[in-house]
Amino acid sequence: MKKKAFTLIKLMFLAVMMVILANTSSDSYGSPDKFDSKEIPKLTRRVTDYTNTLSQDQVNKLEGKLEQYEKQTSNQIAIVIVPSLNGKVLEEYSMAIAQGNKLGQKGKDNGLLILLSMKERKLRIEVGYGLEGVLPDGLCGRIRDNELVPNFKEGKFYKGLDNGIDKIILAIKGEYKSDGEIKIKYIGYGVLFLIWLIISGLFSLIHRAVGATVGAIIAFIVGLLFWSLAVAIVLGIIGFFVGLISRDIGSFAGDIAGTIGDSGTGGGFSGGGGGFGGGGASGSW
Amino acid sequence: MNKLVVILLVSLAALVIVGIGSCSMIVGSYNNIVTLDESANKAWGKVENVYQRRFDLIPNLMETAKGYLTFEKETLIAVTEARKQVTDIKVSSEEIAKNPMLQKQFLDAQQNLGSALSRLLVVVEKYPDLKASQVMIQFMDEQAGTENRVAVERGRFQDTINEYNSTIRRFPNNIIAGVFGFGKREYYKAEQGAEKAPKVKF
Repeated sequence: MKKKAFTLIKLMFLAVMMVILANTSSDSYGSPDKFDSKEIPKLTRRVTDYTNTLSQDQVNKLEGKLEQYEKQTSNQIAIVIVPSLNGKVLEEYSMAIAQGNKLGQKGKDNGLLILLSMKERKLRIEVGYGLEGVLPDGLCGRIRDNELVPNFKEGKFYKGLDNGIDKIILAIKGEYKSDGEIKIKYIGYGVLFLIWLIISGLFSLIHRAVGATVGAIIAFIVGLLFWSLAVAIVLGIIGFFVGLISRDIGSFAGDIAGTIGDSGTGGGFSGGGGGFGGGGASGSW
Repeated sequence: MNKLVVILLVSLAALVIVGIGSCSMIVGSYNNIVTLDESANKAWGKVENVYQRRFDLIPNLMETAKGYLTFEKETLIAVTEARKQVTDIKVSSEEIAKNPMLQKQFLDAQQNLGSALSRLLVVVEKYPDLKASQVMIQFMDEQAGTENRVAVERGRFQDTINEYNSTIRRFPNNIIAGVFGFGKREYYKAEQGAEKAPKVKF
């Protein structure tokens, strides 16, 4: 009878939580895509050439330079070359790609996109909110006029892009430094979880239920302190169930924290959550 | 344990849970509405910021142009007057954000200034030295950048208002919104093509 009642309470908790979660909305950054998602490329690399204008070797060189740059400064620069705009407006398309891929880090908004459309011979430098100070429209225009357009006119696309990027990097120099912030955040969460696990584990030595309850209470309080009541309740429930098995997790916790700490770097490329305001410069060659 | 006691406890637990759940939902819903309402105001603030960028460049521009354009007094005066019209609007950003009529007033004044500036740039064409000056080159790029930024921020402003409106229409947000006095918001819809400042062809 006790067990059934307990299960019933658990189910009700879950049901209510699902209703609450269904009502929470996520915050959006920027307008929803006007285009079919298929047309806005989801970038998996920093240099994406759909037209074979650049050789594989040139693509790799640029990719390497930009990847290195991002590691050092957290600034995300991407290059996209498309065969044609297909009637789309250059600035709208550029914004859709840059904002859609959320280039740059959330909060810093330090992303930049260089878009080339070969058929119309049009280009645009799209600058994230955070870089507008060091790359005002006037400067972007100069880089366009001095580095990009003259070289593109001669068919020297790699040279133009390479020089252009060098100038852009020079302009931004010193604006943002990578302070290992990203890594620290992940390690922080890992350590927090580890500490929680140890406390819960110790109490569950007395009895599983005790560990579970303590775990649930701590998780609930943390949730309340940093987020909201709804999150706190969810964390509390999760805390309860994980607390039940905390005795068994033991040394696994150490490995988990370590993995979370490592996952900030390397691997594939993806946008960091940055935003764009429409700054930059357009041009043609 | 006594069956009755168990039933009572379960019922009590159920009430407490549903109570917490409901309160949480109401609080969540209310906060969501407030956040969206504020987002719309912030988004309008961004529109005003973008126009301010252009506005702040004008003194430098005028200083540089004055020396060359001694025979183009009318053009310069037109810019000065259009500028004054913009500064004459002393309504707060938040009030404008909530009122489509005030938005129209604001945007019309900015449009006016944009036209005066465009005409100035046409005139500058006749003076190659001035045209080649750093200030002028920068300003022309900034003018183009401003137009783009305005399009972006106005679009986002309208999107946040639309999101706010559709949120307060949904159940149970509509009840909560009604209770706390959140009504539908409007934005000024310009006629087709009126948003674009006249593109000057050289």
